Amino acid sequence: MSSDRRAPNPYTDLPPSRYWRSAVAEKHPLDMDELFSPKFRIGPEERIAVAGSCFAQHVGRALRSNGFSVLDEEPAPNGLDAEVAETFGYGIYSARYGNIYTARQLVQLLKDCASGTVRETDFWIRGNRYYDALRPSVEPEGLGSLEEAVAHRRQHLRKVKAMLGKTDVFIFTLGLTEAWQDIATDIVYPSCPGVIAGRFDPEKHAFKNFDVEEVMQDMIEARSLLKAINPAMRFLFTVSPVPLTATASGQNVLVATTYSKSVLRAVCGALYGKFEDVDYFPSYEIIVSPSTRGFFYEPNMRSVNRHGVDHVMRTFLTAQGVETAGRGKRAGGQKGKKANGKAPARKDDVVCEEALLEAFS
Amino acid sequence: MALKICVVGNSHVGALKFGWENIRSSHRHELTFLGVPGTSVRDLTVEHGIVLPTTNTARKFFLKTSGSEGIALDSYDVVLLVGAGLTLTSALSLTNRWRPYGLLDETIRDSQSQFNLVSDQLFAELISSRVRKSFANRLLRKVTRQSAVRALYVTTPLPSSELRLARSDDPVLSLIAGAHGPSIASLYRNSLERVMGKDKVIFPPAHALVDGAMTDARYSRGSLRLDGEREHPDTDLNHMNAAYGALVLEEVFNRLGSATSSR
Repeated sequence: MSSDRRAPNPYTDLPPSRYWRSAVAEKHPLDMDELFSPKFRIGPEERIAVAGSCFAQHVGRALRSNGFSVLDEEPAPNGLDAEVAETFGYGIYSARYGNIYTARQLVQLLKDCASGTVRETDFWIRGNRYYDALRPSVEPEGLGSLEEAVAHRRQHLRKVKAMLGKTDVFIFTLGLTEAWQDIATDIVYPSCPGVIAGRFDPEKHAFKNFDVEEVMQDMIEARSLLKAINPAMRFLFTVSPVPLTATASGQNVLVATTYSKSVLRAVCGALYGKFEDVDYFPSYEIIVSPSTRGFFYEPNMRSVNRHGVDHVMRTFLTAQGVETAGRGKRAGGQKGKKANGKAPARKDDVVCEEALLEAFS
Repeated sequence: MALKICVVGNSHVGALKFGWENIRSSHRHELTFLGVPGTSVRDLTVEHGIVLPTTNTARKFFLKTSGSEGIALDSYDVVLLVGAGLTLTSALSLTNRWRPYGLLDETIRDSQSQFNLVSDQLFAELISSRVRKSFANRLLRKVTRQSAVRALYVTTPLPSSELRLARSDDPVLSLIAGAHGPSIASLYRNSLERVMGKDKVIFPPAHALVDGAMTDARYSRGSLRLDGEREHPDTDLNHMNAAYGALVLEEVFNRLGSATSSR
């Protein structure tokens, strides 16, 4: 017996969002549906810690300004202008750890917090000033002595530990797979030695490009370390859509970027499937989708422009049930307010050590 | 050259007023004094080149000390803004929470959790920020923007050196009286000059100070209130006497004598 009607298969009767043509090709990129269906809602009372690569700065700002309870364990001193505060690493994340580009860097920070470990190799010198090599951008002019730099780092670790102890939801944006490592200690840095401070020494420093297994293991370890602090903690991971400024991999930077983002995206997908308490938000996909034809990027084809950031965050907030685009904000929200309570000027710049590599091009 | 000088500010105008009485015979200048004590000084504003009170309290002091309801700036050659609420101690109040490493007690530097550490660079920026946002700085800017008069800022006296004898639990005063006092006062002085302009700030002469951070106690004894009838209490470590006022005015006259007529 034959029939013109095709037999049912898993692709019949799928909603439009499951087909490329109806979901992407024929949709305006601002109107794409069902990009994000949260595993869990984040309530206004839930305390959020934000960390990650440069793009994560936008996430923190948007959440704060829409009434989410984003932690800030190292707030800027009273009366400090918002822009100056940001220059010193205040108000960007939930503590002054600067950009955390790699999963390994995150694991290091969590371990150092737990143990209070501060190593000699954690500091770089430029001129007669001392820099915290693990967050070199937070003190633009460095510190006056090694003792002072150590004291600052110790206090920072105590603050991060305290912050994590209060965290209900940990939001982390994975940025890179490439890093520079201290050969003796395996410590990775957020910036290549010699770029902001310190001196590059090929006998002491090695290039490291993490593969998918290494990133996966690091993220699993990070989750375990955070769960040890708060067993109820939940996680929201994203991948930064910002391409690499430069690569030391020996490949074309576009090829290296694709490798890096692919690894990070694959790990996020695996973590999402493996753990009930891990969610993934597709900021990467929203920005790099072919349908956007790059219009979410600045002319340098690297930095995400304000429209892109706004669209990413609108997608996130809408999925979280928060009204956006000038409509009512979440009750108790702090629209347009910084941590110090002062309304800032619109500011989309991000603090990005990696971008400093461009100075060497 | 004889100059018409308007002296306006808070209660610290008193020392200059009584000091002027001691030295006026040696100068040909003409000085007018306007004092609005305490926080009421913040009720002064400048509109269309005229200094005006914005509240009844301020208006009362205005009439009492100057006999008028407004001061037309361009009818003077020089305006001295005195104190106006900006003090070393107010600028340093942030040290109750934030301190640079060098200001920590050496015995607890590595374990303390009372203070949030800030770098020296940020600490200096914080002090400058306090100065920048102060009422005194804002009023000084209004005066210079709205008139051709030459405007100078006369700093609030540093606390009396009797501070060292007083038993104070105030951590800011303890800092000023302690080993770090000179470096803190120097930082404050630099901030004032950086924000307001080096040519606009008048400090007392160095010989009137102790360790650069306090006013010699002989200048705080016998200080009078603005009304000239009552002395400040013995416990008052902030107001200075006529001798101090005379010293500061001589600094002003020296500055004016050596300066060009630029604003």
